[in-house]
Amino acid sequence: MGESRPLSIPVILGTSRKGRMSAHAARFVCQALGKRDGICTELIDIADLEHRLDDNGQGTGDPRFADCMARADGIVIVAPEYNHAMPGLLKHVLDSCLKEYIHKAAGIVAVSAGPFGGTRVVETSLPVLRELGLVTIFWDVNVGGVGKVFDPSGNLLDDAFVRRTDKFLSELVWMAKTLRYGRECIALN
Amino acid sequence: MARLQCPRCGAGMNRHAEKLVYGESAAELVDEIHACPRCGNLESRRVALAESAGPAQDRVTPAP
Repeated sequence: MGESRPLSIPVILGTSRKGRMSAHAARFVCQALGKRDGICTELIDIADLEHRLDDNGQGTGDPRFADCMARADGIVIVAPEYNHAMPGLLKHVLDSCLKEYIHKAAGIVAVSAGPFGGTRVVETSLPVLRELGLVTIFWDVNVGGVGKVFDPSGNLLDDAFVRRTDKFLSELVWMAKTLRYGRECIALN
Repeated sequence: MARLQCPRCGAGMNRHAEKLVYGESAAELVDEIHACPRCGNLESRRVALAESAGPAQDRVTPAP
């Protein structure tokens, strides 16, 4: 097995809304991942991808996104909660791949302006991620009251998120390593 | 069915998943998903469900 290859865990910023506070959370998680040994990461801003509006589904999306997902061992999805669910554009992007996700780890950083920390976007995203073939972890990062967690410049105001994010990433990295071994070394019977 | 060879590095690939394909044919089809243990490359191939249910492959490498 390619144990010497670094794990690839990109962070997907899942909203294109103007003034999005989720960008601060995405950059924070991406920086935390980048400090870990043996991990390579990058921030994928869905606002920077090319989107087809006349088609959807596997193979119809931005090839840069598909290539990144094919290389990935796991992904972090930073998803604000819009009307209890993920943003429609994020679902559109996720639906553009399928085989690229199978047996790879996924963790959710949920962001909301209100007090519930995006718990409902987590709950409504789980069946979607499962159907895509991703394996979700049981740690989330719930960023409630995001305006009090980051200042307008993106500086973290609540140190508790450092510890919580570290636990979340440890679980995600463990799952990504385990699933890489499974994908590459354990045959389907 | 023969093991896929990685088009990037030539190593034998590991079939680790199958996904049922709906609606394209009267025959039952699956997409097999293969991963390369050497370089991590991902490949897939579409086969008839009956053909995909062959004998199990051996492990490519021992567990650590």
